[in-house]
Parts: sequence; structure tokens; C-alpha cells
Amino acid sequence: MAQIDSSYTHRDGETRGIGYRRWVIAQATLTACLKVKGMRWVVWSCWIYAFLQGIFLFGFGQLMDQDSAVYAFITENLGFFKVIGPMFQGWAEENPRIAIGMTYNLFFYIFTGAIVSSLTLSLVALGMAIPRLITSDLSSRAITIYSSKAVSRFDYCLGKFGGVLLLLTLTWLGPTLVTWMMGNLMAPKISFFWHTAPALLHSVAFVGSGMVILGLMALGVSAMTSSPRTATSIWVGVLLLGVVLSGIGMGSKNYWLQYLSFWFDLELLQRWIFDIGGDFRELDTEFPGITEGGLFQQMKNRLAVTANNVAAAISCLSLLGGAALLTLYKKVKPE
Amino acid sequence: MSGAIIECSGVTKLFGDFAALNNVSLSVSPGTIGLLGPNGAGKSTLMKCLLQLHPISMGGARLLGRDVGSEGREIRTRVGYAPEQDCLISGMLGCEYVTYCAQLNGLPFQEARQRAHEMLDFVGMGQERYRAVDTYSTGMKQRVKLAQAIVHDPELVFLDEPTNGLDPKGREQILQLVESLWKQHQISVVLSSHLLQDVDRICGEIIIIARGEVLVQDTLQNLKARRAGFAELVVEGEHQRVLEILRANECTCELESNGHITVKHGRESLTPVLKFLRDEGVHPIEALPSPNALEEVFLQALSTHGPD
Repeated sequence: MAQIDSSYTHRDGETRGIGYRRWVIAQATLTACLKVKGMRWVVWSCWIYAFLQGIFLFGFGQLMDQDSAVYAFITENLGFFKVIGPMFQGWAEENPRIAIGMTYNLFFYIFTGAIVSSLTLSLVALGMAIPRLITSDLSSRAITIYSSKAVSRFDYCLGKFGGVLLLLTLTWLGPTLVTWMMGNLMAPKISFFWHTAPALLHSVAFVGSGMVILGLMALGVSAMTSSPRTATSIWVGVLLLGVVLSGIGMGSKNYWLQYLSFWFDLELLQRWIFDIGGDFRELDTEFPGITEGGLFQQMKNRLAVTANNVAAAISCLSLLGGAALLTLYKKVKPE
Repeated sequence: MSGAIIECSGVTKLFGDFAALNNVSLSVSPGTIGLLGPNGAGKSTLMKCLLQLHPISMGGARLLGRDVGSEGREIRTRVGYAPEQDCLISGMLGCEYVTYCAQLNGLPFQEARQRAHEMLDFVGMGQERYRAVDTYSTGMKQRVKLAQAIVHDPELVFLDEPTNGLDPKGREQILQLVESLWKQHQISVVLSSHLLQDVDRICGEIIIIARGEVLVQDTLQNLKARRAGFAELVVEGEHQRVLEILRANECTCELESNGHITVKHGRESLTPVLKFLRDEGVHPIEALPSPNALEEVFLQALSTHGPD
């Protein structure tokens, strides 16, 4: 140990406001989460996945350009495309809202919320982060230190929530935005930006809502116990319970059970936000009968959603969020 | 700062039916204040209520002139707190932890980092600051807790059992630091401890609490004056002769097992006793007026008010 140095000095610098202190907690939360073994791999996976999606969108954009190397390659290797390629391009020129906008909307619908998506990776990331959110502060009694500083319990929870949102931005929202941006920047025409703007708005609305709900759930689970293993187990249990309830409720008399699954509720919310059914109606208007029967019909049936369905899903998600807030209120306090 | 730094008016803290604090009323001036009491007396609860870590059930309190109930966050920007338990944030390095605590009090990052290093120097932390706090020894934890409590330059610091678990050398260093906070830097200190020697050593004002009630609040000087007429002498050899001289001068005295002589002289000052000893050619190595005064006042207060 060093000898005592009594060179204490008083400070006269500025003291920043509560917004800064909340931001500091959010930053520290994210840093702690990224220190978790394996977390960086998950984050990298999300970005690699986004990059691959960007390449897919690049390929799609090139199909709209007869001079592109991709177009040339496909027409050389797929004979039938020599016939349908120019037809498709001509149709897309006349109906860019359907050809480009609807394709992007469907693409982002699938890749923001489906099983094979950044959502799944984000849920894994949250599972790994949960012991570092509030659980570790409960076990080390660091809550007492936070409470003795110029931050209230509310500020603490808000800061932690900000940290979770930052993590989800890295794993979910960020990759989604970058995918959209890549697709448009590498598109043959600048007009792609506004044709695909609705898809972006839908993605941001859905991912944003999902981030809030999942963030609250993660904080609630993290505040339930001071044991890291128990917290992770509860999180895994909640995810599995969602799958089980959704499965049991599907097609049975007890269909209402599905609403107790946050997976199902999120999916309904996503259907409503992306409004794929609206796209099909527009398609029907342009090309009457095209969505009757076959794959289109199956998709229409699968993606149908009523206002009552959505209201029930939003209510259940709100209840989940409320339960998480109640847990935070009860559990986040110094000994 | 002039005026009272702590004002309590009928503060009561209930945990269910149990009153951890019972109608506590206090007014404390700036300085070094010792909060004494047996385990479970309510010392830590009082500190936590003042810092709003626990809501006050009844009554009101003001800290640094501000209302604890409605201005808790503003108050805590000017107050530091080192809790009794380890409350370190797992996974952080020592310097990161203190920097983070400074930022939580609103210091910009650059200044927070600089002050964190200054405070870690101040509390005597060397290269250990670059180790994870989870690996710290008890002594290091106590130091880093003190550093985080003063990093934002508070006007008042609450220290809850800051010398717990320290070896004598470490304890001495921490006490020196705490003492310097008021004497050299005018930062008021409220030191909670069950170790009377620590409080005796550095505190100017004493508050004795038991069963959630304030039994005694007075300056150390006044408390010692209550025990005037007692002294402890350390002499080299000649113990029997000194005892005889003292008895011849109407003093009651006794040789203790550690070789010290306790004297009940019944006078306001020890000076006459030292004078007649010098006249007899006896020069004590050390003469302690009112030794153990605090301990005796403490025990007397407890016995008078009869805590369990």
C-alpha cells in the first residue's frame, strides 16, 4: 500500500444534471453486458446476419437493372429469366410501390421478427445480459451505493433500461437499419429510398415496441433474484413458457392461451404494424384475383389479423410490462 | 458552513411493528460527530433515513439545510456515504468504480477520472486500483469505499464502521484520513462505530444511541469533564513508591495489570497531582486525564436507560 497522501483538494467544476447521470448508468450497463463471455459473438453474429441480408437486398436491387452484372449472370445461367426478366422489369417500372415497397415490407417483416432473425439473437443476448443488469447489483448490494448518490430508484431503473435499449440497438435495431440502408445505397435507383420508406417505418415501429417490451421483461426478471443462475433460468423459463402456451393454444378450444405467450403477442403486433394484408389488398386491386389460392392465399390466411386480436395482444404485452414494473418497484431498493 | 448540518425532529422509523428509530430529535453542528451505540441500536438506520435510503415513517429531518423528504437527490450531491457492508460493483476495477461513483454525482468523465485517482492517492491506494474490486482485501475495500464517498467533494460524509476488519496499521491510517477531513479540509464527518477508541480519537461531538433513541448528545470535552477526577499514569518502575505518594495525598489508586496506575484524585484538574509527584521527584511518562471517560459515559447511559 502507498503511504497516505493528504493532498485532498476541493473542486469547483460544474455538476451535470440528472440526464447525464442516467446516461452514465446506461453506458455502464452496456459495458458490463459486453464483458459477458460470448456476448460479443452474439453481437457480431447480428451484424454479420445484417450484412448477409444487405447482400440479398443488393441482389434484389440488381434484378431491376438490365445493365447489372448480377442480371447478366442470372440471364446467362437461368434461361427462362431471359423471358421473364424484362417483363418483370417493365412491370416494376410501372408499379414500384408493389414491386419494391411490398417486397421490402415482406422482407423486413420476415427478418425482424421471425425465428431466424435478429429477434432470436437479441433474446439470447438478453439471456446472457440479465445477470449483469440488476441481479449483480442486488447480490453485491451495489443498490445501496446507487441510492446514496444523486440518483433516485427511478433514475437507476431508467438508466438500466437505457442500457438494455442500447444492447438491443446493437443486436436488433442497428442491424435492421443498416440492412435497409445497405439495400438502398446499393440499389440502382435513388427512388428505392422512398419506395422502401414504409418498410423502414414499420421495422422501426415494431422493433422499437419490441425493444421496450423485452427490455422491461429483462429488467423485471433481473430484479427478481440476486442469484445469476436463477435469473438466467427464469428468463429461459419465460421464453419456453411462451413457446409452450402458443403451441397449446394454437388450434385448440383454449386459443386464448396463445395470448399469454409474448411470442404470439409480438407476432400479432408485428402483423398489425407491417400490415402485409394491406399489401395483398393493394396487389388484388392492381391484379384482381392474383392472391386467390396457392401460396398467396395461405399467406393471407396466416397473416390475417383483426383489431380485437391486436387489442388483446397489446393488453397482454402491457400486462407483462406492468408486471415487470411492479417487480422493479418491489425489488429495487437498498437493504 | 455555520448552523446545523443535521436537524431531526421526532424521526421515527418503523419496520413493521418494530421501531428502529423512536422519536429522534437532534441538531448537529459541523465537525466530527461520533455515532455510538451497541449493535442494533439504530445508528445505521439513522444514517440511512437521513440519506433517504429508508423512508422516514414519522417526523422530519433536514440535512445541510434541506428537507430530506423532498430534496433527497439534491442533498446527496453534497453528501458522501460509505456503508458498512461491501457495496462494490462487481466486475469493475477500483479506479473505474470510483470514477463511476463520481459520475453518478454529476462530475464530467474527465474530471471524474482525475478526481478518482486523486482520491485513491489520498486514501493510500497504489497499483491495487487497477485490480477488479472483487479481488480486494477488507482493507482495500474500506479505502475504496472512503474514496468513493469523498470523490465528489461533499460537505458532509457518513462513515458506517469504516475501521471494521482492519489491522491496527490500516485502522490508524483510516482514522488519520477521517480526522484530516474535518481538521484540514472542513468536511464534516458522521462516524458510526461501536469502537469507542475510534470515536474518542477523532470525534468532537458524541451521540449515543440505543434501542432507537438518542441517550446522550454532547461534546467529547463535556463528556470527559463529567469524569474529571480520574486519571491514568504511566511511570517507569517505582510503582509502589508512586502508589504511596498518591495515597499520602488523599488519592485512591490502583496498579493495573498493564503496569499503569489508575488514580481517583477528585480534583477538577490533574495539574496538582502532577505537581506533588514532581515535588517527590516522580516524572510520569504519560498522564491521561479522564481515561475511559467515553466508555464509562457510554455504559452509564446504557445502564440508566436500560437497553436489552
